[in-house]
Amino acid sequence: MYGRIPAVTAVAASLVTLCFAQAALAADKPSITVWVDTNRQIPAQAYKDAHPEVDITIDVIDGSQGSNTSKIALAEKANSGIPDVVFLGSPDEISTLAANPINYPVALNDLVPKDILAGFGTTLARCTYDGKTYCLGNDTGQTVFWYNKAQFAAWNYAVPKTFDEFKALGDKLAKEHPGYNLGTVNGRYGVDAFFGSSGCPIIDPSSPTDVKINTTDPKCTRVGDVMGPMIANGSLSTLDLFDKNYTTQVAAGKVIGMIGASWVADFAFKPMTTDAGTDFDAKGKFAAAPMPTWSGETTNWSGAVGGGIWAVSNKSKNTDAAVKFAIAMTAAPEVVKTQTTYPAFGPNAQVWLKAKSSDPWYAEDPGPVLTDAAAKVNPADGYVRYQTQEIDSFNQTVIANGATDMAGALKAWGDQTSQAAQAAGYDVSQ
Amino acid sequence: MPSQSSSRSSRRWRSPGWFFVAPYLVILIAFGIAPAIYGLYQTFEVTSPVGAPYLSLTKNFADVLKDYRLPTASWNVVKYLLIWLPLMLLVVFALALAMDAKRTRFAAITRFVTYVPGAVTGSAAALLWLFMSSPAVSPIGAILRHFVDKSGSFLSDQNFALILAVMGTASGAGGWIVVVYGALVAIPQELIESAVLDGANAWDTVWHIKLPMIRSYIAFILIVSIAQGFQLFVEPTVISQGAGGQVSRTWSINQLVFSYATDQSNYGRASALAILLLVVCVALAVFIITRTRFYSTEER
Repeated sequence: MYGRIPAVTAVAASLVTLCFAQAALAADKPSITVWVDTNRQIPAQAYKDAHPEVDITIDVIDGSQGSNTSKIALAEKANSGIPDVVFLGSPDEISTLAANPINYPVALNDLVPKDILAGFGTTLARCTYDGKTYCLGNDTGQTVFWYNKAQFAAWNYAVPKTFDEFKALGDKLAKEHPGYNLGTVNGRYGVDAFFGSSGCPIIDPSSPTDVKINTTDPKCTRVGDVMGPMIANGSLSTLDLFDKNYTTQVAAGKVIGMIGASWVADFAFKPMTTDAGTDFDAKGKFAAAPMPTWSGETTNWSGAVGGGIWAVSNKSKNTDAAVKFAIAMTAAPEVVKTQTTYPAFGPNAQVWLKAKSSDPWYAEDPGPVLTDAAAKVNPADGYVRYQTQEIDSFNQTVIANGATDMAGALKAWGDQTSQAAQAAGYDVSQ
Repeated sequence: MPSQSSSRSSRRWRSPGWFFVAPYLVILIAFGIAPAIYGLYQTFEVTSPVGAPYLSLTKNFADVLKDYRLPTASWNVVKYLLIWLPLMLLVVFALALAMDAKRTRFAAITRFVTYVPGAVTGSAAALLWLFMSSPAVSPIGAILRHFVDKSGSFLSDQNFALILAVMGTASGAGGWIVVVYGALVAIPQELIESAVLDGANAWDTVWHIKLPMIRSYIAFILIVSIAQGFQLFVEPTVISQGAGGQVSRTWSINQLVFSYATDQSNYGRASALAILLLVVCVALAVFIITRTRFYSTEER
């Protein structure tokens, strides 16, 4: 029995040597691990194919709210398996990633060329803390008013220019065509598109530790005044956009408009109405109209629903390769071909829109409206560490009770969000 | 373990008992005891988003107890337990006693049929019930449509406890029916026969012989189910993700624990709430064990 040990040791030793030899070979080639969602897999793979000099491992992971944060938090805690680059479909997660105990991202100010950073315009302001920019924008979720132009013409409805007109349109629709609606306000669709465009101070940080929350502010109550009655008469839905109960309404042509992000047409209305078994064909019917203006405002501010970002690890062993990858995913000219949503990098957005202008699914070219809205995203909102709780609380208060008691619901939402913000380490001011 | 003389204890170490227990012991220590001790340590570590972490005996507990979501989540779980436990016990004992009273082939088939839903795992069952309770796609959608709100949603925080309770009964009762039926079969037939000779009818034997004889099973089901119920997690999580925004992400206490750990990366608070949950479950188990004299071997 003892005689076997040297043989085993020899095998083990040679295995170890082999591993070291392979490691030495691989060391010539920088290796990075990137975490992407399914939509970003295609450009990542294309980059990998075009760059054999870098050893890239692409992990496709669940991009739902909070899942990246929890996975990275665990990897940081274990100090192993930390991705070099990550795509965040819920961009607010960067605020948690940049704070204790995770401290994941590296500041990109000195790693990314200035002219490229400039190409992102103001979109990087949200992930800039104390002058350090921690993200590159993938796409922008600026909101516009998507509407069924053909249906509006058939019923002789005018496109609302203000939110008062939007509310009046809702009243009219509820009376004349019950069962139809002007979109949904569940969760982030209500929070970011409506309260966000209005500039309601709810996720309004001035520093990583200071935030303003005041849902009794006129910028919040004016949203409640529109939303409450419209939820009550059914002209605004409270279902999630991707809830089966709502997709069937979209598929049946019951949704004649929605204040929604740039991606709502391509990623919700288009697939929902072209699936087999729908009796409503939306082709050539939908168009983008400018955001209505909130009463008391002179600018028709836009909100931002989603809009992904890329972040690079501060523990990457190949920071250079990782940053190059992140730049390629956002700002390289060739990435436009595989980008499915409105690019955050300005020069790419124009190329992207050009392709969109000839898409026969739209009633008219949505380009000018989308470009205008992208520059008007209300700067009040930022990325905060309590966004998940804020949106959940919104559903438990405004969505649940807003139709009957909007003032009480808004107050409860503000109170709960303040508590969530304090629990997340913010000093809350009103 | 009581103190032993050294020769006896060394014999004990070589006894086959340890051999059988060892594999489990390894798993217990690696995945049970060690994480629990680490969790207990985490309970006292306070992480703040800015500044260094520090140790505090009470901070995490205090933060957790004043969280605005805890009262709602606790009430949701209590509501669920109050509907689910009586409902399930009723179904389990009614069916098991009926099967025991009439031991026919039909009873055997019923026993099998009630067991089948339990074979579907929690997450799959949750998806199934999500579809069941979505009016647009449910086979009973025509009925649900009478109970929907303006947007066409049936699920809500209000009726969610009831839906989960029905779901929990459907998936959990089958296994217990088999267990209780087994216990009923084990009751000596002479006892029943002599009771019948003394003039007892079917109800009398149930109330005065069968139920008292299987009393400890009621306690066992209660202990296991209460622990299970307090830890309710998979079903509300799957359903709240599938039906976005209709049910809170932190509907149950365990979801709140999960939210601390994932959404907020605050392991200290997550551990603190998990420990509190453990204390409640253990306290309830002790209460039930003492009240039902679970371990007493007298009167048997």
